[in-house]
Amino acid sequence: MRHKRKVTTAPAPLTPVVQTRRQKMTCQDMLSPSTPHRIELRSDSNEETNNCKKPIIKPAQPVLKSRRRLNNNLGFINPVQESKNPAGDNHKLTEYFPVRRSVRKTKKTVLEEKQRSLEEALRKEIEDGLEVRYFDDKGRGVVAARDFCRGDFVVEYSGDLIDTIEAKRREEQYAQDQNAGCYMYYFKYNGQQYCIDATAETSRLGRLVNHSRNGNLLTRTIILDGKPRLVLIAKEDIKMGEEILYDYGDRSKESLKHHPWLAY
Amino acid sequence: MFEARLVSSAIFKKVLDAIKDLLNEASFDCSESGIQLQAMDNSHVSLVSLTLRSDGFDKYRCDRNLTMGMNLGSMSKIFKCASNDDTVTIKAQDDADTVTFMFESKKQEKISDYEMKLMNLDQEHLGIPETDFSCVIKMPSAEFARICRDLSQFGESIVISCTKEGVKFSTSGDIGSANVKIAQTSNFDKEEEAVTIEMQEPVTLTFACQYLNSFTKATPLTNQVQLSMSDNVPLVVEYQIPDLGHLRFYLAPKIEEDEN
Repeated sequence: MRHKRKVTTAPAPLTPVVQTRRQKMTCQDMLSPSTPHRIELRSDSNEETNNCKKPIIKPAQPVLKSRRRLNNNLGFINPVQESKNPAGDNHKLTEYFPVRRSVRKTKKTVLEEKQRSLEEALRKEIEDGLEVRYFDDKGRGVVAARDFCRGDFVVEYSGDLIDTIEAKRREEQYAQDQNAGCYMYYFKYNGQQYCIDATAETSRLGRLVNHSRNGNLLTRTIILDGKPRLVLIAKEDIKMGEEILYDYGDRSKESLKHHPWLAY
Repeated sequence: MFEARLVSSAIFKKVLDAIKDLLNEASFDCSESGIQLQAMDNSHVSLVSLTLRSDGFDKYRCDRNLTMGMNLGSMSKIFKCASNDDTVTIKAQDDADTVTFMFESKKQEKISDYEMKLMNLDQEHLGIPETDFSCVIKMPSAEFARICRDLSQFGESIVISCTKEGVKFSTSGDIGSANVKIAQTSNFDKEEEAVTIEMQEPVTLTFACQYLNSFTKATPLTNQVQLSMSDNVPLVVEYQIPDLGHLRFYLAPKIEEDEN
């Protein structure tokens, strides 16, 4: 059977971004030592995306049953048995398709539903179950206000989607401003380099999530209305009250010098 | 709470007309993604599979998945009370034992409510695997209906045989035999009149006329019908419901003589 419905397929495996434009970082780090950091998409999100590939189901070869053959073996045709069966000399569909006794959903349906709810959350900018908390040592952070299960969508890293040229221009501009933190998230999708700039203060929470090498979130790129978006997905079950964290991925010497917390 | 609103109740009427001959009652499975129905006829020879996507409705809300068993005869009676251009809204509470159909006339001057009792149906659900078919034929739905009707005068079963050259429908009975050959059209101007054949390998299968004739009750839904065939696999007759989903019929082949 042909499947007509358009399914937004999982994004192509992402490649970790190689640190580029070191000079820029250096210059900017020196000029604005407040909070600049770069966020790089970690390669471990590969596993997550690869899992989403649609399983290929091969149809089972049906076992054909023929009552006639049975009857012939007996040497005569039993008219009573024949007429009892409303299907007559027709095969039955149950010979080809297995009867599903449970109402379990197929994996495809489950994935489709998940994708749909994710898209809806992105469209409506839903950021439920999260709250901003001030930490004495590191400033603002985001804490789970409810439990999240592994694989749940938690929050979007939202900002302006820009290309590398624009990103370079903006980084230079931000470097002039002592107070501007750097919230440039570089990532690669389909071989093309993008950046999400969340430097501007907004009500969205994704930009406030702190760093940890062993965070409880994963980043994933998904395509919505033809544009890549960055979403943070629960890597494990997250309990209410836990701070949500993910790996910024920046391990460059320069960044570590200014932000030793990136090592943890 | 379940609520689905469709500006044209005519689509629902057509769907009901298409399936009520084969099925007396059926379960409508409602979820976030839309409404689905899958049911075999009493003889277990054919199966109806209906998908109405939530995004095709003018308003759709389904807080919890719910299965509504409905008597299609009663449902059809209710829809007969609606005009074709009425807006229909289907409503049900979670765990309710009734469903409400609300019809609003175009100018909103008349609103009618019909409440129908739901049934607890214990229906067998079949797991239908995704299949790559050897032959996929697209042709005008009216043409297919005509052929089935014409040939059923001569015999009880129709042999559908698909080759590179085209599709041949044939039958034979007490009076004699009948053959209808359809070739692929080379004229692509009128999409709704086109016959297209995608063939990996030729297939010949025999089906009971009676079921094919029931399937063609879906003809008013759309201009084109798609027939998908492979050896030893049921035939799939698919009608698209524009912007809303599709109605598929599966039909098990006849037992061939040489299988004896």
